[in-house]
Amino acid sequence: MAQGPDGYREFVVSRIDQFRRTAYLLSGDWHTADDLVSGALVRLLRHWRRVSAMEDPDAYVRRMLLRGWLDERRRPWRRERSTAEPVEPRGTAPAGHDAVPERMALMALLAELPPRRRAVLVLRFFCDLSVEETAAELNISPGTVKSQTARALEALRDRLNDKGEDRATSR
Amino acid sequence: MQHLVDALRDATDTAPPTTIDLDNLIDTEYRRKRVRTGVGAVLVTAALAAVPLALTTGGGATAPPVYGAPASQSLSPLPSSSLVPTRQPSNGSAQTLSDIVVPRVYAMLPGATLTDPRTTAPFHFTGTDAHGYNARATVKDAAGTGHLWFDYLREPLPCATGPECDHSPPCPRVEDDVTCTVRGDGTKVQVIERKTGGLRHNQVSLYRPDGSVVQLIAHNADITLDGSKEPVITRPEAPLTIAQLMELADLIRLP
Repeated sequence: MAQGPDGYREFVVSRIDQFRRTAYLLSGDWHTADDLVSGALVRLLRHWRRVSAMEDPDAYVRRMLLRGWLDERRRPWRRERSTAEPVEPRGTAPAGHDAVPERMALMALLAELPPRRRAVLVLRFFCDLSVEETAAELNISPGTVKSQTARALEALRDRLNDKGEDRATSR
Repeated sequence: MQHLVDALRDATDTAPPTTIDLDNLIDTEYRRKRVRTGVGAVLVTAALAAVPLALTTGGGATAPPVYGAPASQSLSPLPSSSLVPTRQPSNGSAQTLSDIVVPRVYAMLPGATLTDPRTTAPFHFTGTDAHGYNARATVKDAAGTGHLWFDYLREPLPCATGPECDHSPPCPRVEDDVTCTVRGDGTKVQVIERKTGGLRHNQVSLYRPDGSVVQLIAHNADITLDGSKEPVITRPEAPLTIAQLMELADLIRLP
């Protein structure tokens, strides 16, 4: 991969969508996602010569996104929760498929998970990383990844069941 | 499990347009890199300046001339496309700026030769409204070699987040070598006259109410634009004084 600015630009242009989506699943809103990606891209540019020589530069950016997001979560002002309704971008949902509520429900469920558990889910099931790769990115053991994955999935199932029952009783 | 994978993909399939401006991000980072390199050079040079440069100036009755770094990011927040070669040829506006400013600079520096260190062409403005206008000059005259660094942002650059988005400094700002005042028309005038161990860095920045920014810097050294080489000090003072920079800054304006 080219080590100069052109190589950097080419790499970023080809990956930025994936980075934004990963950041969105971690943070839950697109504005924060863009902030996280911006921060990661600045660090990437600073270390581009070294990172471009790596086998997997994507992993470096993912680590920067994760670190940025986990750091952000630790800041006191992040404890405040916005009450504004999230603005959904205009998109065309597939016919006969109520995509927006489902998407909102998934994001709400993810938001209820502890940060690391959420990160495990995103890395394993969105970034398609193995247990070992996820462990390396989060700097935890493979055993912890497995247990966190199991608990996260269990929590999602419980909440989905709760919501299903709520809907059933409200009818 | 596959349902979760699909759900995660679906959740991101209506991404709004990004607010990330890659060009601006790269330009800003290169500028920061230059500032960091410049500050490092200042510290090294300042440490070395006390004795060795005194020898070269015959005992240092006058302060030894040393490269003055560009101010820190907070003091010179003007984003610049200066490290990237100018992407577009000079247009009418750049020529207008050259016609206004260049003769005045030559009048202030009689006998000097001014060349653009990027191209070795004569001193002139290049750029566009979108990326800003700039002019660079290596100044050579009987006093030695200096450097001029002129930037003009006619329109505020698009900016997502971060301190670099605040193009206007707090004012009044009074530090040892930085002052900021507000004129009657609302223009903020920031002046930096930096002398560190004989270093010379003269800077005038105008932040006009219309959002345009003018930033002029004069160094008393022959410098490389990317800070890759140690500055070479050959003259006691920057080629242009604060008063001269102020006069030029007021000339830089496009209708």
